[in-house]
Order: sequence, then C-alpha cells, then structure tokens
Amino acid sequence: MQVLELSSQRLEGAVVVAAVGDLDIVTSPQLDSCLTEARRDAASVILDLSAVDFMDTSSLAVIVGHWKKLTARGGTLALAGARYRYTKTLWITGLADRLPMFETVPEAVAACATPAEPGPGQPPGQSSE
Amino acid sequence: MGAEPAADDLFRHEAAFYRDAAGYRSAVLPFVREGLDQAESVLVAVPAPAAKLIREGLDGQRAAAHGVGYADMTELGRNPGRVISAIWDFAGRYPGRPVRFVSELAWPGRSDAEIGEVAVHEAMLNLAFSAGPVRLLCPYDAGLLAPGVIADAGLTHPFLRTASGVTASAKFGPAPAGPTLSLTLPPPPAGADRLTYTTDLRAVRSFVAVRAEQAGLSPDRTADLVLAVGEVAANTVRHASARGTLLVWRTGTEIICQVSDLGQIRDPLVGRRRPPETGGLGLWVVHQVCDLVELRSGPGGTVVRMHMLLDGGPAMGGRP
Repeated sequence: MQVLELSSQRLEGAVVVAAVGDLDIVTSPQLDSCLTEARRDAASVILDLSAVDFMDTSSLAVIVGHWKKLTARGGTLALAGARYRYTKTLWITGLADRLPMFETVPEAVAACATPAEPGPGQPPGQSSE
Repeated sequence: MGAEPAADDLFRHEAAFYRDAAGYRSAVLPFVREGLDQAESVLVAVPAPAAKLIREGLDGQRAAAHGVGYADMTELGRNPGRVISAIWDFAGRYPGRPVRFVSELAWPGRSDAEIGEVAVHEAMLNLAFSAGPVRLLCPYDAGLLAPGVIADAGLTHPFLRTASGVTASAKFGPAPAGPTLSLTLPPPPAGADRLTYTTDLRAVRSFVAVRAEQAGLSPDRTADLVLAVGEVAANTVRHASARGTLLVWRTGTEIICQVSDLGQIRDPLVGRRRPPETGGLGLWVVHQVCDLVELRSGPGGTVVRMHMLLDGGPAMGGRP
C-alpha cells in the first residue's frame, strides 16, 4: 500500500485534491506537485484531508506555500474534513485559525463558489513577535 | 559592592532558596511588587499552593489592576522545554513592556529526568533572554529538594535573592554552548524495542503506535507521541546522512521513545522558541505534545528522548 495516494477532480469552480494516507517529509513532495498542478487549473483549491492518518510540519509548510500563492492572486486554498486527532499539527501551530477550514468537501466547494464571502483565513503575517 | 545587579539590567535571572512559607513570601513578594511598581507585565507560574501564598500576600486590587497573570506550573511546566516559548507568548501580549516572571519548576517529587531538564531549561533561559527586558525569579524548596538540585540552581542563576536583597551567585558559570550539547543521558534499558530506519517513516510511526496502545496510552496521547517521534525521525531524513535508530521502552509510569541519528543540532535553543513561520517547527511541536523531552546533540550525533506519562494526563492543545 502506498503511504500517500492523491487524486484530483474539478467540482464547480474549484479543484478538489483528495489525500489518502500519511503526509510527511517523504510524501510532501508528492503533495507539492499535485497542488502545483491544481493551481494551474483553478484559483480555488480544496484539499480533502478526511482520509489523512498523519500530518507532520513539513506538509504544513507545503500547504502554507500554496495557500499564499493562491491568495496572492485572489484565489484560496481551503482544507476540508481534517480529523483533529490525526492532523493535530494544524491546531498546535495555529494554522487551523488562519486557513479556511470546512467540515466537508461540499461545504468547502459552496464557500469557494461564492467568492464574495471570504473564508476565515487571512494571509499570514511576516512576523509574530 | 559590585555584586548587586544594576537597576537597569535588561536581563535578570535570580534563584530564591526557601524553606517555609515565610521565606517564600519574603523572597517572592518583593520581586512581584517591584514589577507592579514599574508597570511591568508580571506572570506568576508556580504550583497552585504557592500561587495562593502570593495572591494572599499581594494587595489584590492593585495586582488585578496591573494584570498579574497566573499559570499553574505543574501544567505549563510539566515539560520545562515549553516554558521559554510560553514566556515569549506572554511578552508578545504586552509589546514594549518588560516581563517579570516567577517560575517554579523544580517542585519536590519530580523525576530525575525532569529535574535534569529543569536545569537545562534554567541554563537555556540565560541564552534565550540575554537581550531582555526580562526578569526571572525561580524559587527552589531548599528544605525538600536534594542538595544537588540546589547546587545546580546556583550554577545556572546569575543572581540569588534572599529576604535581605539580591547578590551575585558565586558559582554561576555562563554555559556558552549549553548543557544540551554536553550532558549525557543514562543508557536505555537493554531490553528496549529497537527499529532502524532510513526513509520508511510510516514503519517508525506504527512501531510507536502499537507499543503506545499496548502500554495503555490513550488514543489522543498515542497520536501525540506518534507525531513527536514522526517529527524527529523526519529530521533524520532531512539532516542526517545515515539511518536513524528508534528505541521504545516502558518504565512504571511512562512510555519513552528515543530517536538517535548522526545529524548534529547546533542551536541549543531549537524547539524552545517558536519559529516565526512554518519552517523548522518540528522540534517545537515535539515539545508541545510530550510530557518531557531530553535532547542531546554533539559531533557524534543527536539523541532525542520523548516521555509520555501513562496515567492519563490530558492531551495537549485545546480541541476546537
């Protein structure tokens, strides 16, 4: 069994990237290239984390990097279905409060389809003293 | 005299050795009052009974007006490696104001490993806050703690505070590289479970998960320990040129995971300060989720020993 399997599909205006398995330093490059491709296809990218069993800080760096690039051109990167126990790094590091997070993919798609209503996340500040 | 600290010292790190409540009050209360008089941000992080002594000794209204903060050190400082980061967070809430911090970490009954990490932390404070403006007072129970613990506190604190004032600690020695880079750990037990790895981090994580579950660690805290070991093993992949070794064993009260590899960490404060962005967060996260972290690094490699108490402390971090 693969440590990480990724698939993507278009849903309304967004590209949904579904991750199954573990996001760690070894699999982060796979996630990175998948998100790079998704950004070429849409301004709104949704990362479905509902089947992610592990998430370390190297994958956070990848996610934040793509989120910044998308928000810089008026798009967004939203996370859907993250399970607290297995993706706790999002909460420990405070990213859960900064990135747009949704319970389910349909909720994320609905939110991304109405760009008049921005998600809860703001681009990260350059310093946190 | 020359032995007393100058009033405008930007960084001050004092120990107070007390034997009873009266001694505690006569050392700690003047320190807190000095801070209130100078409109500093004051945080009192001590075990609950000591906090009660301090609250009762202060003029309640005045202390409240200046916003003296209290934290239960048995929770905040369960892992002493989290405390420097917590001080930065506290300071960040009051930008531009000096911070005054009462920090009692070496309460009687802590394990040898915990007491050792308290000493490491005390030395690290001198590196972390040398630029100030931070004033720290660390009370030690000289009646109940072993003489060696008191002696170590004399080595790590530049100043000692008594009822009659503050004097320089004759034994204080600046530790330029810090004990992180020089102290050795007691050897792991011969029967510890062992796994060597290169890039198969999933195998590393399931090795830990199975044993944590068998030891009776709760699912949330098992996930915390798996995350911590996963982060350290990821550092092997990132920094070390050769394979790493994982050891797992149990004591009567803890499950302990040790990751060692040939990489070398040169920043003794790594993991104790929260990096400003998402890079380099791994060891900081390890400190947030574990009950105790012992990190030693030198030219021969790096060892990180992560402890989790088995009797069901709460998982760290608030559920959303």
